[in-house]
Amino acid sequence: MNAIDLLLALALLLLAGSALLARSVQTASVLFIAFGLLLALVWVRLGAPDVALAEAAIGAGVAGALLMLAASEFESRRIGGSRAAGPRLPWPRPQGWRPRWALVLLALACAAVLLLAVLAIEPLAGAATEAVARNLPQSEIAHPVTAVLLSFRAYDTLLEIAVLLVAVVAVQAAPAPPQRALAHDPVLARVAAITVPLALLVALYLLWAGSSRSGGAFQAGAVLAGAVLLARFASLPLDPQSRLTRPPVLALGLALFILIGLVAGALAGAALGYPSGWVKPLVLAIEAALMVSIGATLVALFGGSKTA
Amino acid sequence: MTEAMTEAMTEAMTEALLLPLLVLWPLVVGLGVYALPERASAALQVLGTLVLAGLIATVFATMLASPEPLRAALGGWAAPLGIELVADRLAQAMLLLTLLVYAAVLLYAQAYFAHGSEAAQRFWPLAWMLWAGLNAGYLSADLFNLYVALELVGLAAVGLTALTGQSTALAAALRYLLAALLASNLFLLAVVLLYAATGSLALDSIGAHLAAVGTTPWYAKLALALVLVSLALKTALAPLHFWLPAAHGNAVTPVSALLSALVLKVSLLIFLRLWLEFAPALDLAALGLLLALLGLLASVWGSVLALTQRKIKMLIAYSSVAQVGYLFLPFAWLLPGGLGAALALEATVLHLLAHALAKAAMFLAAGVLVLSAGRDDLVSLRGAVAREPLAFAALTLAGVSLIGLPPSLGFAAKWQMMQAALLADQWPWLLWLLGGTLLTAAYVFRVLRLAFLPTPEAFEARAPLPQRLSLCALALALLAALGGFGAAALSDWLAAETLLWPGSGA
Amino acid sequence: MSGVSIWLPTGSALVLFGLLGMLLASSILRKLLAFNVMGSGIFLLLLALRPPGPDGVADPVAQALIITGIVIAIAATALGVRLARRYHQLSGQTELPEDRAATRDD
Repeated sequence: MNAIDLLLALALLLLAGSALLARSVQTASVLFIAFGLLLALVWVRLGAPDVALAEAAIGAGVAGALLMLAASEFESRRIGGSRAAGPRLPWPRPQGWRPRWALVLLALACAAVLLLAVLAIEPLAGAATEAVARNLPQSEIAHPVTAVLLSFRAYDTLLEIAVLLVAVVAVQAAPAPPQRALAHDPVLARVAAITVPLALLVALYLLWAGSSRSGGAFQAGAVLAGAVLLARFASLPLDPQSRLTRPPVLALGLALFILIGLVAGALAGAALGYPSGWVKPLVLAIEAALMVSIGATLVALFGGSKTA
Repeated sequence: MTEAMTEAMTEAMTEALLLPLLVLWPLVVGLGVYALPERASAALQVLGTLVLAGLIATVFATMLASPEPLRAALGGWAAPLGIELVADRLAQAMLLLTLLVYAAVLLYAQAYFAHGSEAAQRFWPLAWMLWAGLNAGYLSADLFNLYVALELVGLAAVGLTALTGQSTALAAALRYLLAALLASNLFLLAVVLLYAATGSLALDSIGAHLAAVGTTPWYAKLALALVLVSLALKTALAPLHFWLPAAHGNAVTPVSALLSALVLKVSLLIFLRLWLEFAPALDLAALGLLLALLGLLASVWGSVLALTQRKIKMLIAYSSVAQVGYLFLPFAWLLPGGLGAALALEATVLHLLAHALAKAAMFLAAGVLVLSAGRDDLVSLRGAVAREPLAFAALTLAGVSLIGLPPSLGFAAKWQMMQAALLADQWPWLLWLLGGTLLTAAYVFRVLRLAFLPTPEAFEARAPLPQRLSLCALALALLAALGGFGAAALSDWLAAETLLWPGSGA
Repeated sequence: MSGVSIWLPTGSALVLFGLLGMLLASSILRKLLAFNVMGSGIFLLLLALRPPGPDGVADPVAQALIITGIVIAIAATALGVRLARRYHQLSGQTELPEDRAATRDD
């Protein structure tokens, strides 16, 4: 345990705590984004750069932006004359049967038990990790994390894409409130004109890099989504959002994944398997389709586009 | 020699493709109804259901000879490296149940939704994705994969709850979402602890590892406790049932049917599997007793609240709270070396099937009556016998199974429970089972009685409803009400002893 | 042995914070935020409990699980945020009925 880790840990707890206790949800969201970015740093410290990328792009970026967007909507509609004093904590006493102190004590007790448990567990390498190392050459994928995500445990990834799609379909019941037309900001447009193509390049790089080092479809998809949203906010003449968030595009990733999983699987002898020698191109194809779908899904979840 | 080998290989290959298809095919159909124009939707869904029925029939046929479960290692990677799907008799029963309920609900929904309604467009893809998630939950033998499957089911269910987009639906969906998310995190925490302790995510490795270690580490109990709270919350076992009434009572009828019949059951099934895995290594007698007591309280509390409801669907929703209590009762006897363990397992399965069929039938029938009266109030049931005789018949038959009268499936379930209690020498539970029957009868009769009263004069006649709606409800209700005749065969087929630990007899 | 990893108590504390937030916060958005904090704590525990490989790289299975978990969490959060926005638009409320404070009397 060295000083840097200690500082990081304390900062992490401080940011989380202040985000949860912040007076306004907008402040809480900003603190949450900072928390996520710091957490990404911690992932790097712990030797998990893939997770760091995903955390920064999705965990901090997308989640934080979603919360901030909603928070600003809620604040702007606050009924005039709200009590300036307000409750000291953002958690006024709720009605009904839930006494706060009992829950706090219960949670504290559970956390203490949890801490004791994790301290008691002897870390062992374990059958799964050793199996990954042994079977990596046979999977024909160079990067272990990619191998786990798209070969050994591809089924998890497939279901997870289905979860994303379910979220997109489900939000159609709740159309997003119309966004105020943004005044055209020439500075932002200038910056976006450079940043958006750059972001697209980064996304493609992440996609390509994922086969041999950290990267992959999720991180690339998140960057892609960021690029599309930036283009919209900057009112760039290209409006990819409405074209991107149509059902066929959203469904593309899962559809291709299942198709390859079944066809290549039939050839290989088991669903979601790849015949030898074809692994690299098939995985790249799946990841590319996933990147587009994930990017489109994240954009659609933000909502507010003309077709949403 | 080579012929036998190739035969074995093709068999293994079929299994390796067959089981994943049970999850992948509903996803494909869901994608199809989402991305393709509406005209193709109905035909695609009929095709989809038939194909899925064929797949399930194949599974049954393959496993008819022996109760040895079918296994499929996805990607060809065996556990603990990869994820395995396992289809034992328990999973098969759930697959078949889901098929039957879905067939009825999908047919019903076709006629229920106004043509071209926006809510319907969201219903179809969500319903099929939910089906995929349910099947994934039945078949998975991997801890983290179970978490992902539960998430798929959970978010699809929330989406279905919010279907109409109205304020009440949104509130119910949000409450459901938050409860589900808390439960998911608790489950994930348990998975983390178990993975850290055993180094593997395979379901059957837990038992093996715990046995090998000697004295079971106490944090295994913590993991089980987390799993219990998580899945009790998802199954709405009182006192963690707060999210259910609004969600089931306010949703559109086909959604209420799916939620109460199937979504509540998959989390129970997963809990059952984990219980069976942990039981040899931990002393679960006290926990089993606690679950049974909570179940008892739930069945009282739910029934009492059902008696006080003024809206039909809310009454049926509270009835689910009560019936879930019954699902947890047999855990008191589901112990290794315990007498009556096999009976307790049979009772749980029979009750699962009975409640799913009866509750779905009830919601579908109630939906018809609500449409016919134009209102959700119980008083609007007056005269329902004359107006909608088929729907009323369905409601009655479903009620028969819910109360537990012979020859219903519900009766068979309660009978097994009583036998298990007697065998385990715990006859006080018998009193409770009989008392619960009376309470259930009370709220069921409350509903049925109103239907015989004459229609109030101020009643505006509405356009006649398609018969198909009532027939779907009736089909499920008949299965529930007459299922008792097949219960013995079902128990034999289930071969409960093979699912339990070695050395457990009936 | 380098001693106890500091990330174990950190992760546990984050789980505690998130849990308390989900149970006690009144606004829906805060509950969703707390859900994410709790999830982050659980992921941190996962990685902290897995010994790193010989080259200092963390357990790839654990990394894959966390990435999957992050994506699932965003799907759930996005659904929740959208439902909350629509609910607010229709009803003017940012909290569920049972969480609203007893009538604020002036």
